[in-house]
Amino acid sequence: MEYKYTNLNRIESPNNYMYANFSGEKFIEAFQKNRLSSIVRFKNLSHKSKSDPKDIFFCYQFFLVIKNFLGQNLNEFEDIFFLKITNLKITEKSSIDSSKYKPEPIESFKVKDVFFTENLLSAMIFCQFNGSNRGLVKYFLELLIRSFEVQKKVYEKYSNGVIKGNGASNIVYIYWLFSLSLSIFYIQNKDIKYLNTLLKISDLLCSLDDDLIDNKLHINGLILVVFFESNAIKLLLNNYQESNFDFA
Amino acid sequence: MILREVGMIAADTSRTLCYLKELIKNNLYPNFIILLLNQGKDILPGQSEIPLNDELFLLLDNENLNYEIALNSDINSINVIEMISNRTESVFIFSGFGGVILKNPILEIGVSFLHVHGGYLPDFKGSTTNYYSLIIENKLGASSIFLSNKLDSGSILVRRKFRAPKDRTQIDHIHDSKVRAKVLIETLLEYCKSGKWIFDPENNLNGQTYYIIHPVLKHIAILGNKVTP
Repeated sequence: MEYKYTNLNRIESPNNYMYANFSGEKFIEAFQKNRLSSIVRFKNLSHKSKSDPKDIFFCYQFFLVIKNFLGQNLNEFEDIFFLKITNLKITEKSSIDSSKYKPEPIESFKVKDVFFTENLLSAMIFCQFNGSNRGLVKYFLELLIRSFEVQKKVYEKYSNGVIKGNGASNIVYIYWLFSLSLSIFYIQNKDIKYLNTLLKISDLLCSLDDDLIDNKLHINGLILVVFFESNAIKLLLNNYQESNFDFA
Repeated sequence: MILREVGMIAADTSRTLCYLKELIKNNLYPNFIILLLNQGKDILPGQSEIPLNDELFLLLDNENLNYEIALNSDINSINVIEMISNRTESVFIFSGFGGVILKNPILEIGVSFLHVHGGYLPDFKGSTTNYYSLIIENKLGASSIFLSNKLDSGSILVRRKFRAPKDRTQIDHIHDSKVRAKVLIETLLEYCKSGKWIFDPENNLNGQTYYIIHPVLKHIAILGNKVTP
């Protein structure tokens, strides 16, 4: 069975996901296969990865968060694979120093002003890692989710309540930052609403050809997000089936 | 019993068929029905792959229900708004195509739209919420409201939770419609009994808004009734 949701470039041809047919467990297997093959593809791009101190800091912090979240649920193979991913380039301990990266304070973003999505997401992620400004992070994340779910894109800039974005909508780096923020929020809150949008953003990222990803973002960060998303689904399915008794 | 104050605006969907069957079974006949027919080749949200037209018309004709056909699937169109404006009923049961949001001017024509949302309000607002509630609490929900210009935020009349069905593969076209129909009937029976619309005291302005469920989560919601060995 084919997982069709990454067949087309989902920035150019968004999917509305309406009334998807039920195809049984084979569909979940096809999804997992799709994500694994995407990870393998991304690994081959790792020599063309863009990285700056902020991205390395984000990747390393995210690695720690998902390691803690998935922890004992990683089997031996996954554990080795996981370490291999994180050893690819996130080895410069000095780059993992948060003092080298100073984001704009999240309080400086006002909904009525025009703001750049990259800056907002970076500020949000920084707060998510250090556990500050939870209310503001949730507020802005909700607005971005709403905008993406309605418009099927994330724009370069937003203003006036965020629903209508403007500027470019094909900035892969912004989609990755959004996926990172959604992943952390899901880990911290276990709310499947955020996993739902993460799945859609991951579809979009996995649907992009190599030339659209090369040098656009930190490849290990992309691998980590897709790896996390795929494992979050495995965990959810296992936990859900184990705890679910049908009384009907 | 004919509900003189109550009409129905209905698309040719499996939900409409389910509503009508339950209304007839409970002797609650809308005074008038405006039927929105999909004239396009594509199946619209809420329609099953099996055409329902014949079954729907047979039911309406056999029960001598008053209806008029709008060859227009868009409830927000001028044509449909005019049809509603020309009617005397003050409340219309809403059973349109899936994913449709009523926009002004239709919400300002002096008629109330009684809608049964497929989810327990205010906890589950938005789209495909019964799949979310299956995953989160292993239940289905339905809530009757009068539509307002804020999504799923009109005052609640009746809200109920239901046990998850054994076969979850037919949520879209059977179970979701069934639980909504149950709440619709309860709402109308309460109205007939008291002679007025009685509201649930719960404030419906807050709550979580969900967006259309990703197919992976939809599969998890459906597969969840399988106890792992």
